[in-house]
Amino acid sequence: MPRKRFPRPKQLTNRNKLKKKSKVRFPILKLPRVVLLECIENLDVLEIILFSLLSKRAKSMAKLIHWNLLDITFGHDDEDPYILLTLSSNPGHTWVIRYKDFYEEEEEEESPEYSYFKSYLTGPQAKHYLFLKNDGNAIEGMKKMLRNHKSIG
Amino acid sequence: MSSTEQGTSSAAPAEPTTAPESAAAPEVPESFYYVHGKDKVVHKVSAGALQHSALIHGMISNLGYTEEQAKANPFPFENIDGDILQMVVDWCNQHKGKPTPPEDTNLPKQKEKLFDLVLAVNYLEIKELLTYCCKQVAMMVKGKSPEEIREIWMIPTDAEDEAAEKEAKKRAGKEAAGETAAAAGDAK
Repeated sequence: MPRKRFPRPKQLTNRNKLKKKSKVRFPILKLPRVVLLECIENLDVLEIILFSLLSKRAKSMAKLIHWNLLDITFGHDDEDPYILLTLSSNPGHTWVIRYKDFYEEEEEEESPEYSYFKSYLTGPQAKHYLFLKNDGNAIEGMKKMLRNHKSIG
Repeated sequence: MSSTEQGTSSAAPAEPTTAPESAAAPEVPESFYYVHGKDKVVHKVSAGALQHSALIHGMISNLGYTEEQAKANPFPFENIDGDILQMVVDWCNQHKGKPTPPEDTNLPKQKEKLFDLVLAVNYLEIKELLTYCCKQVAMMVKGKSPEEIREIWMIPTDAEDEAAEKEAKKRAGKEAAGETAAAAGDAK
């Protein structure tokens, strides 16, 4: 059965341009803790997760945010594994971290070293996706992710 | 003391026989205070504008300065760069006596100075400006990949953190050893 192709985000094709553009640096971990937390609280759930995976210090900061994590579900769709998160404070939203395989032709065109976000609105329900590259070790990645969610959630 | 400096023109139509000066008589003149940063350049700011800063507002209400005293003793903020203090003062003047709208277009745009601005605003306890600055910081990494977030927010890897910690310990050890040697030398 042929595998379903995900829509390609515009952001991806403009990636190199974006890299050149963003030259401003901001040493966020040097901020006072209260201010740092206020900054992180403005991020989306998936962005907080990405932030928490960057280092132990980043994770310890993310742990201080109060989340009402309702449910974590594991699954796979077309062999692509995913983690589904729901928060009791945002019942209309679902966050999905999805490990995605890449097609050979895609890898020729673009660097496979990327992750990207996409949101869909289905009726009253909003689904926010974070697509990560499935480098053949997605289960290990998911285990790490689960340990991370359990400690920061 | 009244904090309503404007709005008298809309409430002025009656009593044509009295002179305009006497009609506006109850208005109390606005008091001004003075602040300076690292560069020692003194900024004159109205009490209304300074209301945004909980720190300065607290200092004013505790000190009870007269205008002359305030002029002679500007509030010193030696830990804030002059240009950053100027930005903060400008923002306070623009938002004197009115709440900040959710999308504030009068805010400092220089992202290179955002870090110093956040520290200054936090120190001066200007809550509304701090909230906006924190949103700006979050916007810097919107839709970015983990490596881009690491680069923009200068987040070291665990290995780099460990190396820096070791280095700091080594330096602290050396400093402590130097101090004990100096103390021993003094004792002799």
